[in-house]
Amino acid sequence: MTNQISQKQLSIIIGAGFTLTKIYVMPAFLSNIASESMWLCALLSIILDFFLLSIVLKTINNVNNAPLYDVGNALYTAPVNKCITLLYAIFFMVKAFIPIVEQKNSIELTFYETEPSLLTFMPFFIVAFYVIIKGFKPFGRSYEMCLWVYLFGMLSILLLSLFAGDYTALLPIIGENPTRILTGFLKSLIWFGDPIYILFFSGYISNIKNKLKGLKKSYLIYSVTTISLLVIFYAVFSTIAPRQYYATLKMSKYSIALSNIGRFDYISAFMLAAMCVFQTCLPLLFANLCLNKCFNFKRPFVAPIIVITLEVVFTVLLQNSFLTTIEFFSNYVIWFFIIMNYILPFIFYLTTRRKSYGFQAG
Amino acid sequence: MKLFKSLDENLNKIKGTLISEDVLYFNFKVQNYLATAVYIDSLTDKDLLGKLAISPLNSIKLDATNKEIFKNINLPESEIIEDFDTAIQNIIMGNSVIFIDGLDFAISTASRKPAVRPVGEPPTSSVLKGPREGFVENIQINLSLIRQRIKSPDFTYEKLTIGKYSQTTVGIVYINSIADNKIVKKVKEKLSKINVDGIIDSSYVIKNISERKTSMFKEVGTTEKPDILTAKLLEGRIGIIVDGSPIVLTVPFLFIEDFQSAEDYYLNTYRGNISRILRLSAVIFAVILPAFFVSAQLFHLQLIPLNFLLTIVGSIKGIPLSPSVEMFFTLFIFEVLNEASIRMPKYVGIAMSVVGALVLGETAVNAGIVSTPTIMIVALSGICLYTVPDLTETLSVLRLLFLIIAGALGGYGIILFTYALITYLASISSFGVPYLAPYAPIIKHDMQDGITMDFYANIKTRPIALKSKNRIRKKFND
Repeated sequence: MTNQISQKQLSIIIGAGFTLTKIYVMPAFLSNIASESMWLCALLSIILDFFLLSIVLKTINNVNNAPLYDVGNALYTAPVNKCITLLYAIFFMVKAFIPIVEQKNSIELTFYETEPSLLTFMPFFIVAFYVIIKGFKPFGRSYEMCLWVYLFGMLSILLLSLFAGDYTALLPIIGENPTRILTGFLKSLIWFGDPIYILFFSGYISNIKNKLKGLKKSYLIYSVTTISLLVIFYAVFSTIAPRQYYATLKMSKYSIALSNIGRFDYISAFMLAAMCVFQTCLPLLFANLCLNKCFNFKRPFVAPIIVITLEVVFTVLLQNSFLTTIEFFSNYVIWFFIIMNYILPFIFYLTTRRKSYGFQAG
Repeated sequence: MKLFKSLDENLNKIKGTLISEDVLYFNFKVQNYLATAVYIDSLTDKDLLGKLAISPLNSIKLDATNKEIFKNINLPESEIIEDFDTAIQNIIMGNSVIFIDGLDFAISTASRKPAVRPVGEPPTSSVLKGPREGFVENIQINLSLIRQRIKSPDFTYEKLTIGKYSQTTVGIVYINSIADNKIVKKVKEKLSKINVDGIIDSSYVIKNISERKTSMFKEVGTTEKPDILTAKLLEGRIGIIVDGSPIVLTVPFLFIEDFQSAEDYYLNTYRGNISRILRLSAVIFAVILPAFFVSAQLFHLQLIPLNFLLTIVGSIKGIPLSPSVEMFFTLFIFEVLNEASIRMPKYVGIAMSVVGALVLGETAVNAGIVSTPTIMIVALSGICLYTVPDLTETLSVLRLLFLIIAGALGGYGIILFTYALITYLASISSFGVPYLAPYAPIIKHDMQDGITMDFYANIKTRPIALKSKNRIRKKFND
């Protein structure tokens, strides 16, 4: 199969990419619910996701890295499998909506002096369309290519803001009512559950080594980076953190280094914004994959056109009520997220564990 | 069609096919038989023909009808030919063909002498240290330059003739024990599929064997220097030599190759590394800087440090054009000057650069049409562009595209376009080798000679990406 991604590229997607969807609205959203204990909510989600990752890796090994759709056809009947795949196509489109609008708002607020027209963001969809058409292989390679960009951007933002924060603001560690921490954990799940992507890479991973155990090390890097980012964010903004949506990219501007040499942290913010473009395309790639599997379109452009058109419509319609949409998602749609992110993969894992089905490797 | 026994019939047939006036006929006698040597005036060495072919034939003792007579000709590669097509082909190639009355065969003598310029230093890749020889337009001389450097029986040369009318000789060179057989096979297949009327230059071959015909990024490497070609062959690449072109092609080609210069290997490794990083930075500067400056002025003023911002504000005060139009205008002038200075005779070119750089630039600033920072940025971008000469064409187009996008969308546009570009480059490969290797996919081993290079002593194996048969480059006893 030519459209394959390597284990190394998957590691980079986990280690670098997973953090990127958590840097825009989530820190302020969690601060609003759990104040100084906000990072604990994220930690709980990260732990839950670690279990999800373990299940996903075991499932991939159980099915011998066979394409998920083929496994589904063998395990369940074809119509049931089609329904589940269609549900996942919808799920990935919904899951992509949050990072897309977050990115759009962040770009508008961080990078422009005056709010630009929505049209400024529209080329994103052209690029996303192009990425979807190209498939997994260039996607994985582009991620590898830009690893240095991510490292420079993330490290400089973390290091510049590291000494600008007041870490006593995070004390006491469990200062909030545990119920609020649990509420924060539950509501923030709309930003988590990323290991589901790894499951959908099944069948498209080349040269699996050591049963993909190396991916867990990348997950550890992601966990440390995300928690560090949240801790520094709250230390920098403390009581005003709940109102600091999209501020993570700006949190290094208080560093005294910048007063001497200018706002070069903007370069880092630009770099991270570039990486976010990659990460935002990931659910779109899977939405395209699921639609193609479901309907077996003869022309390669049909599924990407459907995916991109729906995302454009969502973005245009809901762009002005994004925070309300986030509230709606975290209160009601969250159950859809939990089922698709955690429950279905678990059921899938259980059904593939029972016996060897002799699936052909992808 | 077989040759006739009658000399007249043969000559009539030749005259009917080769109607040019530079096809000459020299009549002489071999024993008692009439004979005619047919050759093209401008391609044949008449001295050789007379001394080494006609004179020995005049004095043979054998029966002139014996096919062995061609052995008396003291020119290597002489052969007996029995049909008209081969005879005409030989005459066109510059050989002279001798017809003898009463014989149904002719003798082709390798007496060609095409015009050749002497081997000299190529103007596009001059070096401070290292060999100064460059390829010329003659494939035989080019082959000798390579043979002088690779004296191994594993060195392989395979010849093809391409072009319906040009009948250009195209050679494939590689080291049999190193180059990947699959890549060699693919190169041969692609070359043999070329069906055009003529191959004027090796660039025609590039256009024919590239997988993406409309891509602005080249998929085939080029070099004018035998030392560079030798180094590439030793890494496992394959060379394509085209008769009539001093540019030799190499495949597979990696994007990183354009940033590597032969001199990097001849100089101190530290200096070589600095040069490579400089080239990469210069390329990024050349492409992004004008776009970045325009987008910073239009959308991201915070990006510019305050003092610099005040300087810019001071200099753009009163400029009637918007930042993007101003940049376009200046770039347009730069490109026109560049185009003119390449095409003009050298002595006019000097005057042109004085007019362009001093008079136009100075007056444009004084007249308040363009600002000083814009002139500075265009000049800097222009200079940076030429640090990697092989990429200049692509980069100048990219610079323009980035500028349009930056003017319309600002920094986010630059990000999106860069991302699309990376995705595109990551999706392509040159003869099965990823174009962005060793960075996408990451091949740690091959990074020893990537943007930076390891010390020569540490480079013991060939690049993994090139899939060479024999990976060991050198065995050290350390």
